[in-house]
Formats: sequence, structure tokens, C-alpha cells
Amino acid sequence: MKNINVLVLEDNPKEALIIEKALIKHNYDVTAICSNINEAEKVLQQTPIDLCILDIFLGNVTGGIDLAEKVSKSNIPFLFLTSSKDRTVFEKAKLTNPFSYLLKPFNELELTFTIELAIEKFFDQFNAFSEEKAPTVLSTNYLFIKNADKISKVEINDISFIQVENRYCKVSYNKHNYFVKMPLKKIIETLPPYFIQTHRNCIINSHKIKDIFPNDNLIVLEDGNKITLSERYKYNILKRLNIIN
Amino acid sequence: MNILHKNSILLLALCHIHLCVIRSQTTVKNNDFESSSFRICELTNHQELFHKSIHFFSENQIDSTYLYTSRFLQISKNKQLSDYAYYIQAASAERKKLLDQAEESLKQISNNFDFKKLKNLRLATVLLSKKQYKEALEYYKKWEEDLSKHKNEASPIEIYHNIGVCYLHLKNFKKATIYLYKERDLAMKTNDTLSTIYATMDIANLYYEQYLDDKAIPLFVEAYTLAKNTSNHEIKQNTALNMAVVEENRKNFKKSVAYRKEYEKWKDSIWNRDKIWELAKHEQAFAVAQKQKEIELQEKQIEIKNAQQNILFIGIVSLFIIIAVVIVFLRQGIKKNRVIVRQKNRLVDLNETKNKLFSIVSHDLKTPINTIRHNNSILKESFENNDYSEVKEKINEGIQVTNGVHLLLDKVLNWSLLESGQLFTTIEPFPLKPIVTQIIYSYQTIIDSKNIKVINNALPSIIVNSDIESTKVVLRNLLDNAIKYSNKNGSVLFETSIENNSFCHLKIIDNGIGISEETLKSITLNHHNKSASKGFGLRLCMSLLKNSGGDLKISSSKVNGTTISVVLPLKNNNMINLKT
Repeated sequence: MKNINVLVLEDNPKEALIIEKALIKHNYDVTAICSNINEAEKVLQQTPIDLCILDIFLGNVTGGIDLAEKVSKSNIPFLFLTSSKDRTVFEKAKLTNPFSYLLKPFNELELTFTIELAIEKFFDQFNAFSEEKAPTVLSTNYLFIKNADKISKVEINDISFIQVENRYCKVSYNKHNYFVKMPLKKIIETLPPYFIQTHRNCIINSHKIKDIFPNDNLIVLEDGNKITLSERYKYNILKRLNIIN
Repeated sequence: MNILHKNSILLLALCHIHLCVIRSQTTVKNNDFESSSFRICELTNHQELFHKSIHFFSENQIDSTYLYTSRFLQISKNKQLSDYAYYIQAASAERKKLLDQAEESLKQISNNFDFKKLKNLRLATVLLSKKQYKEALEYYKKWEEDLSKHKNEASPIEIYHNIGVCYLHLKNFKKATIYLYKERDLAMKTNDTLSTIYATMDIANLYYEQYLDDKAIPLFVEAYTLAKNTSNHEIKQNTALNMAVVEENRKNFKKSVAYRKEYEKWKDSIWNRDKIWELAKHEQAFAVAQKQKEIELQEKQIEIKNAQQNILFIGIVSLFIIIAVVIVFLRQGIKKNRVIVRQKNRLVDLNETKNKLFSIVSHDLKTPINTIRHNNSILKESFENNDYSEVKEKINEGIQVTNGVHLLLDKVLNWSLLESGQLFTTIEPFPLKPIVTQIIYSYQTIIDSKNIKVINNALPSIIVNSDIESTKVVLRNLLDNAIKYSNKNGSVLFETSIENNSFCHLKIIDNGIGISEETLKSITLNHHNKSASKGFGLRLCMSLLKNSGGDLKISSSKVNGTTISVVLPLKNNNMINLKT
């Protein structure tokens, strides 16, 4: 479990400080606070960032909107901050999709709520953090988990396997189990290709395989979990893992 | 066919010529002329000019006849045809009284002309007319010789008369007497009374000239008695006059006077006849003139009528044009007025808005700022005196006041944006409960200081479809009101219910002092109150909710406090999904 790395684009130091305090209080790592676009772009190139909080107005220029377009292309969720509800500004900001914003002044609850909203929207899993049993959002790189009003992330390649359990999918990571309210088929589509299906109800991380017993239809993972290998997927798996040709 | 047709026409033409000759030249019977004409017609089929000449002659168009014969004669080489043409030309000339021309034309006719006799007679008449009596007489004598030779049955009264006249003028009374008697005999023979009377008178006159009164008088008497039996007035008059003169010369004045009276009577009757005729003519002319005048008058009247009609028409048209122009102008005026009224209403609204803004700024903003200023000086004092309980109290008060000011500014800003249509809203689904929680969170200090219990019982599963920021403004205002009008240790409850599976009713229930009915009315009826900010928040809430598809419902009583329902549209089919 890791904290989420946040980049804040805010040219007002006092407000930046308020945002930073609120973020830290809620377990976010404030990687950088930038007062202009160039600075922010540099940080984005050098450091992995999970979320951007962008003030629309840098001085009199709508710099936040310009940066948002680049951030969006890098598959990083973002949200806007602004003190103006003026239509002319918003019409331009709304062109960036998905679009989340927060009006200043705001309290810390509003901030964290809007961050969650932005992540949900960005990965198209609306209201996912409000799920009681599975307050998670799955992206290609991370599984975002909300726990006690705090969001943390799990790297996808640390996940050993995912198994369907009732209406949810159980994600097993480091002996912890998290639930995702998503169909397994969609999870397969979202995850990188080294996740392979072994069973109608199960996906495993091929990097976490310890042993395969094809005759017993069994896979043993590095964490000791034993996964059933169904006949239907056996041939495919063996071929994918270059065990047979 | 064609030839036959032409022949028949020519035959007709020549018949006319024959008649003409007889008419002008007494009753010379001329079967020969007829037949020879017929023959010539056949020979001259293709002489266009000749045919035309004959045609026009038969039609009595003398000028045309003369013209065509002249043209024909210029080119003609046929002697026979030329003779005919000359004859026709001469006849035409004679009728036009061009006697020299007629004589010349007749003399051009060759001796071989089939109707030499006819020619000679005509020449004689012409010469007689020219008073060349001797020459005329020669031609008449030739005709007489012919007559005796051929024993012709012709009875040429006029020829005998003419010969007689010639001799009379040549003073050869004897011969004149013979021919005139011949004329008289002939006339009596043919029972031609008029000619007889004239011949008798001629002879009588002849005798009278020679002073042979005894011979003359019986003839005069005879003429007179003959005339009495006729109906010819002129002849009666003439004979009567003759008798009067004769009686006068015989000194028989009584008779003379009687005859003269008779003469006068006939003259009068003639004159009367003429006069009546003339009068009738005059009357006719007068009537015609009268009619003409009437017609002219009617024409004038018609003209006047037309002019009047024209004037009326022009008047009507111009009236219509004027009406149309007036209507157009009126319409434009009405349009302008409408625009002006609309603008005026808008201006009144804007002015009210401005006034409200001023009163809010001057009153609602001034009081809290003064409080803060006052608090700050107390704070400083308390801090110096290490009176921390006072400091804490003042800080809490400060937070409360600034919160209020912030809310007020927020209201004014939202309201001005909403009024000017510049408020940005995005309708999207969001969970309602976290929003309520966030709003309560920002009032925590005040809630704590007033020791009010605020409970958020909103269902976490409810997802509404509205504008987040508008909803926040509404909730902030409603919570602020609820706290403001709650007593210490009071409670505020947030509760949700679903209506019609399509709307969420978020109720904010307080047990505070409630809203008076008057205030409630002024809020719901959107009346502008004198106390500017009273109800301003609620009105803004209502406008904001309506702007994003929701509504606001208020129920309040002095006993139970106030319950306000925020109506928000639900996300489509959201509840069904979440209930399962």
C-alpha cells in the first residue's frame, strides 16, 4: 500500500499551504507544489504522479486548463480549483473531459470528496468509492483503495490473483484481500496482459507463479495460494508460459 | 370559266353604255351597237386598260374612265378598240363639260367606226353646246340623211328640238318652225304631254318673235290648257306667265292680272314647296344640330362623370395608401412601445436589484464587519490580560461572523450570476449524503458554540442529478438559517425521502422559532421586502434549485419550527439499481 502522489498547481502560496495541509492530513503525498506550467511539466516528466490539482487561473491566464490537456493524455486524473463561477471560464474548462472542479474556499472534506470524484470519473467507475464493501477504483497501473476516508494505492504488478466472490471480485495482494465491484471480464480488459485467466472465476499474475502442476490442474503462487487450473484454459496458459509449444 | 365571267361583266358594261347613249342622245335604237360591243368584248379579252375603262364608264366614274381611256389610247394599236375608247372618252369629257376635249376625241374616231351615226350625233350636240350652230347643223343634216335612207323607226324628239334650236339661232325661222312642228308631232304621237307642251311653247315663242301673234296666241292657249291637266308646277307657271304677257300685250289687263295671279300662285306653291322643303331641311338640320348638341352635352356629362369617377378612384386609392402608411407607422410605434415597456420593466428590475444590493452591502455587510472590528480590539485587550476564555469566545464569534459574511457574499455573487445568466451549472449525478456532511463540516464551529445537535440521516445510496455547487449553496443557506433560528441546545435534522421514484426530498427540520406567515408569503410570492436580506437567501435557494431542475418547499409553524424540503431530481433508475 502506497500513498497517492499529488501535484498541486497553485500560484497563491497561502492557498497552496492550505491545500497541502489538508492533503497531508488525509494521507496524500504532496510531491510538488508548482506555481507555473513549466515547473509542473518538469515534475511530471521526472516523477511519477497519480493526481493533479490545478488552479484554473495562474495570474490572469487560464494555465490550469492548458496543463490539464497534457495531464489527461498521460492518463493521470485531475481536478480544477477556482474561485470564479463565471460561465465564460467554465465553458473552456469543461472541454477537458472528464471534468471535475471545486470552488474556493473549500473545507478538507470537500477537497477529498472532489479528489475521489475526479478519480472515479477519470477511470469511469462512478461512485465506486462509496461502495461499502468495495470502495475501490481500478486503473491499468493501480488499484485505488479507500479505507477510513483515506485513499491509498496498490501497484497492479503486486497483485497475485483476482477471484470472483459473490457480486464482487476479490483482489489478493500480500495476503490482504480487497474487493472490486467490477465484472471479471472488464477487469481482464483493464489489466496488463501478464494477467491470465486460469479458471472461469480467476485471473492470476503470471509473474507471481511459483509452480504449475498441469496433471493436478494446480498452480501454486509465490504467496503460497493454490489456484485451480481449469481444463478449458490449461492449454492456453501452458502455451502462453512457453511450457509447451 | 374565267373568260366567260369576264365576258358577262363586259356585256353588262356595254348595256350601260347603250343606256347612256339613249339617255343623252334621245331614243336612238341601237341593236347594232349592242351586238358589235358583244363581239368586241370577245376580241379584247386581254386588254386590261380597255376593260377597266369600260368598267369605270359603266359605273359612272367619269374621272377614272377618262384616265384609263387616255392611258389605253397612248399604247393602243388596235384602231377599232381605239375608236371605242375615244368615244367613251368623249362622252366622259362631255359630261364634265370639257367641250373642246370632247370634240377633239370625237374627231379622232376613224370613218370606219361601227357607230359613226352615234358619233356624229354626239359631235353635233357638242358643237351645239359650243354654239357652233352651223357645224352642228351639218352633222344633224347627215344624221337626217341617214334617217331617211334607212327609214329608221327612231323618234328623236330632242334631235328635232336641237335642229330647230340651231335654225332659230341662225334666224332661219321657216326651217326652225318645220323642225319644231316635227318635234311637237312626235311628242303628241308618243303621248308625251310635257314634251308636247314644251314644243307647243317653243313654236308659240317662235311665232311671237316674228310678231305673228295670231298664230302664236292659240298655241299659248293650247299649251296653257294642256298644262292645266298636268301636275307639273313649273310648266303651269310658265304657261300662265306666257298667257299673262300675251294678255298684257293685247292690253287685256284684267285677264293679264288673272294669269299673273295664277302665275304668282304657282310660283308661290313652287316657292312654298321649295320653302317647305327648305324649312324641313332647316328643321332637320336644326334637329340634327340639337341632337348634336345633346350628344355633345351628354359627352360632356360623361366626361365630367368619368372625371368624377377618376377623382373618386384616386381619392380611394390615396385614402388606402394613407391608411396603410398610418397602420405601418402605428405598428412600428406599438412595436417600439413594446420594446420600450420591456426595457423599462427590465430597468425597474435592475434598479431594484441595485437598491437591494446597496441595502445588503450597507446593512448586512456593515454590521458583521463592525462586530469583527470591535471583537479584534477586545481580543487584543483580553490577550494582553491573559483572559483566554474571553479570547476563545471572541474567536468563535469571529469565525461565526466571518462565516456569515462569506455566506452573504456567496449569496450575492450567485444571485448576480443567476440574474445575469452567467451562472455556470453542470447537471451530473452525485451522491447526496457526502455533500450534506461537507456542509455540516464547515459549520461545525458554530454548531458547537451553540451546542446544536445536527444529524445527517440522508440515505447514502441516494444519487441525485443536479448541479453540485448550486446544491451546496442551497444547503449552506438552509443550514445557516436553521442554526440562526434555532435556540441553544436545539437540533437540526437532515432526512431524505423518495417521491415518485424520480425525485429526492431532502428535508431540513429544525425546532427553532419558525418563520412567520407574513415572511413566508413574501418569500413564496417573491415580493420585494423592505428588509432587504430577509428571505433573500430562501428566494435565491428557490431560484437556484429551479435553475437546475429542482424545487423548494417550506412549511413552518411557531410551535414545531421549520421544515424545508429541497427537491432534487434523482439519477435515472438509480434507486432500482441500488436497492437490489
